[in-house]
Amino acid sequence: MRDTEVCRRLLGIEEPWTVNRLRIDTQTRELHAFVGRGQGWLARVVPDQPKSRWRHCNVGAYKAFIHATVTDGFSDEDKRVAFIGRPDTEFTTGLARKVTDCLKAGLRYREVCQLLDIDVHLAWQIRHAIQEGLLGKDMSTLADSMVTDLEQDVLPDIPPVSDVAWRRLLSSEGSLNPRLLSLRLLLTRARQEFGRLEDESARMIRINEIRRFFIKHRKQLGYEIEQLQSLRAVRALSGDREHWEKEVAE
Amino acid sequence: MSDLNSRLLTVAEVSELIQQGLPLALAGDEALLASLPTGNWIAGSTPYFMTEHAGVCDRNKVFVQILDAEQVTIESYDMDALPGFLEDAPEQGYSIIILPAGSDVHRSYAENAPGFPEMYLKPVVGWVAGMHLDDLASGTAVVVDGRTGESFGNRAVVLHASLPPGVSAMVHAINLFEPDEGDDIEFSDTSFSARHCIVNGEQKGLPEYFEDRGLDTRQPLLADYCGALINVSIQSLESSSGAVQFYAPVFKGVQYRVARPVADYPEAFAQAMPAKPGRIIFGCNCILNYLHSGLEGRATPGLTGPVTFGEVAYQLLNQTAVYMTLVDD
Repeated sequence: MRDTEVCRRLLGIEEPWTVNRLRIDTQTRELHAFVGRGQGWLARVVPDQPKSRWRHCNVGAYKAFIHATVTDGFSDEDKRVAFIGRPDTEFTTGLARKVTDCLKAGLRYREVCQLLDIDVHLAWQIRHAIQEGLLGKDMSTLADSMVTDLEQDVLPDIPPVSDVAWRRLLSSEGSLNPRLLSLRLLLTRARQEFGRLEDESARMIRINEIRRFFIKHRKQLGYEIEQLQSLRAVRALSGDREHWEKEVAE
Repeated sequence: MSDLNSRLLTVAEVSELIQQGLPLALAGDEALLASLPTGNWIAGSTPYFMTEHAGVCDRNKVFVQILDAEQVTIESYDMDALPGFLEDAPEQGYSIIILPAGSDVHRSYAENAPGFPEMYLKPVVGWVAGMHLDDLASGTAVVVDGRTGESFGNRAVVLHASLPPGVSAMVHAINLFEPDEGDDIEFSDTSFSARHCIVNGEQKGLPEYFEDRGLDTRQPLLADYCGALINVSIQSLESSSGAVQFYAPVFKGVQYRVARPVADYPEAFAQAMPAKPGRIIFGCNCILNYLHSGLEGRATPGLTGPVTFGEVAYQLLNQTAVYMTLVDD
């Protein structure tokens, strides 16, 4: 059996989705599966098509990540598939279910995060999704227990994906004076694209991407993260984001 | 960069380093590269180098950059596979890419790299391989996959290196040009050539505009990317064909200005290069800086490496010096 087929079964990936490519990073203990709804020519990487990356359930000692381009929108069917996630999250539906199952079984949120090797940034994102009812509307008691458990940790200094700071940053309304060459180039490209993107899912993927940059380079970005805080305080934008959240929650 | 880690060496000396299993980024004449043993290396053709002493043209030696890495993988990519090359890069590490000048992969990288998955999220530096300027009409640029010794004229070779926890790679670019205070120039298409431009909102013929302003083609166009000044160098200005050819594409929707000339490149470079840049593991500089600024016989203090037909600091750059450092988190 081919490696991609073994991986497809381990990750619970079902047809018509296939694993087109695999990368195993032995140093960081990460398994990256590049999935798509086609093979051969259809599966090749096409520049400029926003690609999502979601953390999925672990495979043994390895953290699993799913990479996919959802080019034809995020259908109701997609929302139920365990091995992908929503465009505004960094976790798969399957991982979120595992978290809620553990919580329902009586584990504390901190213990769940340790068990599943979930870092603080992802922990807050999952908590937010549960609190907002995005993973089901019957979880308010779970959300309450998670709040008290997580408050023992320092609140991450990088805003959640739903924070208005990211939209302000990418819509050029929010000024930022980056020092790293990579951030300067990324921000320029993201701003050029963001205004042109009509699909809200594509916009969320771009927000997720720049947020991932901040998380990954957090230790080099103290100056930029400080500037980002000032964008959080300004609450000017609202309309389309609220509309979108309402729509997906339904 | 440590003198020991970045040097111009004989084939015998380089072969010894290869046989020690060290990960290497090499540059040299095509024939010399073909004579090297297989190993953990990638290479591109050029006979021009910035050494610690001076810029030189040498067809008998190979420039070696010894890389720091815990693990190394080497891949080559054709046009179809190139957009996904950073998906093969480790989460904690860096990539070095070498592209053959004038090839389809070179053109594709120049035009599309900003949109590749993982671009800017994972550190990538590199260069465009070239040839001796006397051979421009007949020669071809090549890149070499050191694992097999196979050379390519239309594939990119990439060395993906992983770093130990707590160490990060940082990409830097030194651009000594600054924009003039003249017109804002825009283009309606992303392209390596342009017949027309939009100057302060008004469409004009580009060659005529350059001639009217008496612009020197040694001065690149400059764009401001959130504070990073990115050059597009002018290859030729042909009134007869009505087109201006560039060494990198101009991008639709980006505002450009003409650069002011740099009076004394080595002196300005010495001022721009940080006194303590950190652990430099890779460097390169542009052939246009070498030519226009008379770097043959003159040094660029603190930075050595191949002299290239294009530099990669994430995306393709022109008339820029690029280097990568390792920093402790």
